[in-house]
Amino acid sequence: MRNPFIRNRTEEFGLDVWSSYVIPLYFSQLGLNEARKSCVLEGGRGCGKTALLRYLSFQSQFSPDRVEIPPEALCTLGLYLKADTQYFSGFIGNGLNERRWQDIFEHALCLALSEQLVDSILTLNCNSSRLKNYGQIEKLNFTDAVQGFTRTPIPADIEAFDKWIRHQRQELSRWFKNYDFDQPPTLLPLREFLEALIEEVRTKLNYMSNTVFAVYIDEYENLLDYQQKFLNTLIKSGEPPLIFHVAMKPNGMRTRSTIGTESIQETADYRLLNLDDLLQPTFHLFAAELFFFRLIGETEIHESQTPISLEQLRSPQYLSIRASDDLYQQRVLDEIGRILPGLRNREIAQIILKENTPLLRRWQKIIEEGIKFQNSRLTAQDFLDRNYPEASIVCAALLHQRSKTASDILIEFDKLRNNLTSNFTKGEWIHHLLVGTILLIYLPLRQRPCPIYSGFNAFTKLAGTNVRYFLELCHLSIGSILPQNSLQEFSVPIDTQAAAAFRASRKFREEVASCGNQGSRLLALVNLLGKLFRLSQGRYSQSECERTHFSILDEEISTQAREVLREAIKWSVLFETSETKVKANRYESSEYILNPIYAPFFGLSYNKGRKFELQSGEAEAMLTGRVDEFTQLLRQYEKSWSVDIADQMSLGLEM
Amino acid sequence: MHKRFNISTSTHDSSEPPSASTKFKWDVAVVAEKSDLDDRSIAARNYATVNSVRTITVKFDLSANETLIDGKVSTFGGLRAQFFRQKCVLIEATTLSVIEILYVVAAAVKENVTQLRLVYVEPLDYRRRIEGRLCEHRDFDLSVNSLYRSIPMFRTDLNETTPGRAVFFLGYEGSRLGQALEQEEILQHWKKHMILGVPAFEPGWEIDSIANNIQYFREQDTVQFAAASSVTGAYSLLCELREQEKESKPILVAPIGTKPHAIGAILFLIEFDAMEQAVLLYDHPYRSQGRTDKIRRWHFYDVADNNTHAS
Repeated sequence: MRNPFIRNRTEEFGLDVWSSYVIPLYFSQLGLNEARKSCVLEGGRGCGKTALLRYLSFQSQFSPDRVEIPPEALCTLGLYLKADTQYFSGFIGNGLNERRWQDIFEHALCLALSEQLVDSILTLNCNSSRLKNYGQIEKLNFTDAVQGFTRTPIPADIEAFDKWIRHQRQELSRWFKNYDFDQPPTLLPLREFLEALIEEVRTKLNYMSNTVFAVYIDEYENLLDYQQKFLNTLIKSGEPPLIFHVAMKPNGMRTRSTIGTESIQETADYRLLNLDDLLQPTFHLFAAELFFFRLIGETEIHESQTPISLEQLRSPQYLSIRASDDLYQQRVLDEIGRILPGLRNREIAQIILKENTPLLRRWQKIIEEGIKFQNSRLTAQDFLDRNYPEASIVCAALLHQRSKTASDILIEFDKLRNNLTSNFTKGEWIHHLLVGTILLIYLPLRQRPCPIYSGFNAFTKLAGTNVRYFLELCHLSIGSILPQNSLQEFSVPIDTQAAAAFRASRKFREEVASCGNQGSRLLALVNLLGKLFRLSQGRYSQSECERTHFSILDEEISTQAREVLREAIKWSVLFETSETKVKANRYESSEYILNPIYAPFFGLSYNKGRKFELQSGEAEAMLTGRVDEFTQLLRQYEKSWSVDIADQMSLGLEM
Repeated sequence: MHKRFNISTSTHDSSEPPSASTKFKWDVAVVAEKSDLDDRSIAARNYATVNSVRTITVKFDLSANETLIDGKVSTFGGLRAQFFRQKCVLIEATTLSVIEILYVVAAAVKENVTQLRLVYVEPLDYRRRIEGRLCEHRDFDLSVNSLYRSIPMFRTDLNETTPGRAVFFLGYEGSRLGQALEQEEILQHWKKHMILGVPAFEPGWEIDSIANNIQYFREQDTVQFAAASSVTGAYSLLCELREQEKESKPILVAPIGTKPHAIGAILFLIEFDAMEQAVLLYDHPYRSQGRTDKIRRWHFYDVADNNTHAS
């Protein structure tokens, strides 16, 4: 029996994802099947780019698992290509100039896509009933179609032509084996060669007479600049029956140039589709649906025991029901909420205030220090009322705020207890401070799972729009305790989920080291920001609570620092948004949010709380500095925020 | 099991090299262009120079994908020409990069060099260790990652290759394995062998390698061990895997651990590359000056090619 959530990368499912793909709710907004102009699909890690492209490609659309192929599946035929980065990035130098390498790249791409095109016809005709419906492949004559491009004889029939392409690829490999490049193979022109093949297919196979061939190039960001320019040229000149789409991480297009003098422009030459933005509004429902879909697929649990239908999730025609049927949505969300329950903040406050626990002692310590700070004669007991757990908790922070006195806080607390209007509600003390104060109390107690990170809602907030993060959170929560044939009465304990959130957070934080060629630098950035926000989170007053994002004053940073920021955004270590609440006369600039998946590891909030404004010099040190500059930066804030000694001890984070 | 190469190993436990022979000198010694990185590089270069009739420098320029001999751009043919009719070649493997050693050994083997020796000098300690950062949490490790990139003669499109076995020789930098798996997601379909240098150069060092890499291991991966200083161990392990792989699927080798393991991998790549049964995956790390301190011991690997006389 497999754990249903262990496979969290599309690559693990192979090219045919027909049976395993859950159609995202934004699918109809893409219009890729109808697209007659190039699209650039941009999205962070784990948002489903690869899965989407594989779903749109012939391997899935013509999957042997698909019983009936509707006519619209033949309107647009997807050819998927994910370039092997280590292979194509080595296409430089070696005594050849860039122009020559561009021709070799074009040739390699041409062979790969020609092979795909041939495979698409063979896959469509993969069994006898399909052959009966479509067939006619004996009519194809590839000698007639493309013999003009090379002196080597090209076979006529499809299977021999398939082999011929494979031989051409082998010849290229053989040529590469020869360091000194004596006799180059004949290099094929991509567009002309593919168009000739398409012409042959459209002429001879009547069921493909109007088919548009859509090429989906995945991981465009990994291509070298001249390779991107070559693809940009294909994007610019794309028109039916051959269109090129690319998918990439944010900031993945390093150049807009083509190999000619022109460059490509959004709208005029391509449509930009931001998958994170499209996924975000419905991620909640999508994640829940995916949860049940995986459970059914890989356990004995029958779909009748779940609120979803496999068929509905696999078929675009049910999208409108999923997107608009409130009853359906409620059923799905209620059921996942039952299986992955969370606690309301009030309930967490109650847990903290239980007698004789380290949490209560921690609360008491903060309260007593606050009373001391206020020179008050009141006692901790005065601020403890288990009937008002939220107010009792936030008192811990309020007592450390200079603008308030202990007696004023107590007066407000008494008003609350007497059902009178008080600042706890009216001034929104609870609203603003509760989450921050809960985190503050849990901060040094890392062996204790913090229930803030439990529950389906918390999981989706931690995951952002990263499906992989969500599945890993489920995997680590449920792991071995999953019942194999019934979901009745099955629910994952709060602490198990919170512990899983911490483990997932630690795992994905460690993974940052392998994010591209600045991985170590990005990990240092995550650690530095995590520690800085943790220092801020550890301030008793919580006057700047739930800090998880920053902006750079004046944004005067070096090109090198900007490059690190770009990489951080590319790898979704940071998310960039336009700055809100710009103070004074500053120009509008950007805000950078630390990916919430790292929140449980550092003990931070997954909400976007108060902003942290960095001086340009500090940002420069953070993005390009050395270890001693990091330490200096942390020390400086530690000092200015005067976090007490006991809390500083918890900042080492050595686990 | 038939193996193309026989490797005899000898070690010399001293900071000083073995005394130079008055009677025998190597026809040609190959050293790195920049070979004054640390104590051991300097000592190894001196040893190579003193014990040979002639010394050449070899550098692989990654940005241009070109090999330089004595500072001049050359070709693989040019490298072979250096070993034409030479019987004894000494390779200073401490400072030459993995790729440079690969090309030099490949050229020497093609030219039927009969006596091929690689010398590797083990440091007393890695400076990173002395700073105490290695065993601590790697919060602020700023070492530069490098991308995995194919090189001339060893270019393989993994998308077009039948998945076989991927063998990773691991060192203490876990991010190198992590990056391979991140960059080359296609390796999901390959059966993975994780090779750790055990026994390590010094007892206890293996803990770092394990601790830094284990997060990337999966249940279905095979974890194997080969002594960190053993070229034979690495080479034999690969040959055995090659033999076990009945369906002739390729074996991908990522020599991202110790230098002796890399030498073993190089011999394997040379032996099987022509038949496209061996694939190289490599990330070309940037080596900084002064990584190590002093010298612990000297390793000598004498490689005999069983095919030499046949060809």
